[in-house]
Amino acid sequence: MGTSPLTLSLACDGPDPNGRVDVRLTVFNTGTEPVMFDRRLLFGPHPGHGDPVLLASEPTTPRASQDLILLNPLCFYGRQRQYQYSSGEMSFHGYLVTERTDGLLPAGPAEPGKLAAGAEPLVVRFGGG
Amino acid sequence: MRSHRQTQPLLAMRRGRAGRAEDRDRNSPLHSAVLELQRWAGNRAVAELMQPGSPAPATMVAQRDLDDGGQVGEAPLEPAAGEIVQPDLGEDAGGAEPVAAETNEFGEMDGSIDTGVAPHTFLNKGQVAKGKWHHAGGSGGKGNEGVGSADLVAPKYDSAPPKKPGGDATARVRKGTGTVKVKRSYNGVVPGDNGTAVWAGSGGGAVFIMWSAVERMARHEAGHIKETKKFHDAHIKPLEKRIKGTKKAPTEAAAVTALQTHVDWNTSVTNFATADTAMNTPGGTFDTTDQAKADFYHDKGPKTIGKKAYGHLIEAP
Repeated sequence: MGTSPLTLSLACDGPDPNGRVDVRLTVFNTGTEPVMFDRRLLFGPHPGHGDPVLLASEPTTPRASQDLILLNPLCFYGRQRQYQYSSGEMSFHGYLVTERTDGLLPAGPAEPGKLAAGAEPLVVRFGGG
Repeated sequence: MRSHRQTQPLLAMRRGRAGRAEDRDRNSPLHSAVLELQRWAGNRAVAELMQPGSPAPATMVAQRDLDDGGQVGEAPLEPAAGEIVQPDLGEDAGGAEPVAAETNEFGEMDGSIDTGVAPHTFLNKGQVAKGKWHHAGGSGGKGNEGVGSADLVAPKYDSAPPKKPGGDATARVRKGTGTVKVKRSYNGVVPGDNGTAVWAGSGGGAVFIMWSAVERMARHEAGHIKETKKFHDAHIKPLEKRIKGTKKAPTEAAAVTALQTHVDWNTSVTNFATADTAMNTPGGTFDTTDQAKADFYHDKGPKTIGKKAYGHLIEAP
């Protein structure tokens, strides 16, 4: 997937006065051919650090085939999560890996070769600072 | 995550040679009877039956109450995967023969009896309790002893003068001193509704933990203990061997100094504590490595389970 037509992007609504922010990760097929990807290999949106470090993914499904997403040209797939911080800055991340790997760090896979596509980190400032 | 020292009740169950035969025993009538007893009387009663000296088989079972997707019931009973273990006796446990202090005129053992094997001072208590996840305000999913912790009795050195003029004085470590006891245990996590998320950024929300994550959390905690044992074996075990040694020198003071240098107590103890802390402290090497593994649990977002809306479904892939 080195020349994948899939592009990932992060956007958000908020944060609101209570520090709540809805962060969305979008997978967009910029090509002219349908592209299939496995959503189990898509991680995010999640913060760049924390205790615990919890990557965002989706619940398992009974059949693996249900995790395969067919994106037609100029179509997109997305995932939204809500986070809340009282103050400071936090970067959020999202990425797609080429295969199951044991190097799933918050900002991306430990092995650069396993990255199929990654979103530019989204930095959100909380607390009106 | 490792955490602070707490005293927890120990639920000791035997595991070992008999435990390794559990697959063979699984279909036996006795196994079925144990499962029935476990359902009827609970884990604790079964665990007590499995204490040393009990006639019950050393088969481990874990009762599961799972509320998932509105279906309430028991998941299949399975062996508790590494949750409860007996103290690690190391390789010295094999082949130890009980030796009596005395025998009578017929050669029958009398007085006290001892295997002669000194138990290793690394005590892996495994899982000693369960609770809601500590990231949801409970006590589960964390270690009970501080990282780098050990109970120390510093060595006291005894010396003896040369037995004859021109001979060497001898120094040795007094019995009962120069000991390092390292104990590790952890609390497991209960499946299902774990209360409200308290970790930074979570925004609250109810937490539901799937069995897959419960088991993964237990493996994570057991992994911390495994890492600690590696450092114990690297730094404390050799120290224990050196403690048993003696040194000779022309004077008692010189013999003691030679032995102190040989034992090198502070270096070993400090190296253990430093390595254990770096590896097992929250957010340390082990956490970073293990959390990156493909089978680690994730926050899979909101989900309604049993008519309750949860903000965080914690599940291992």
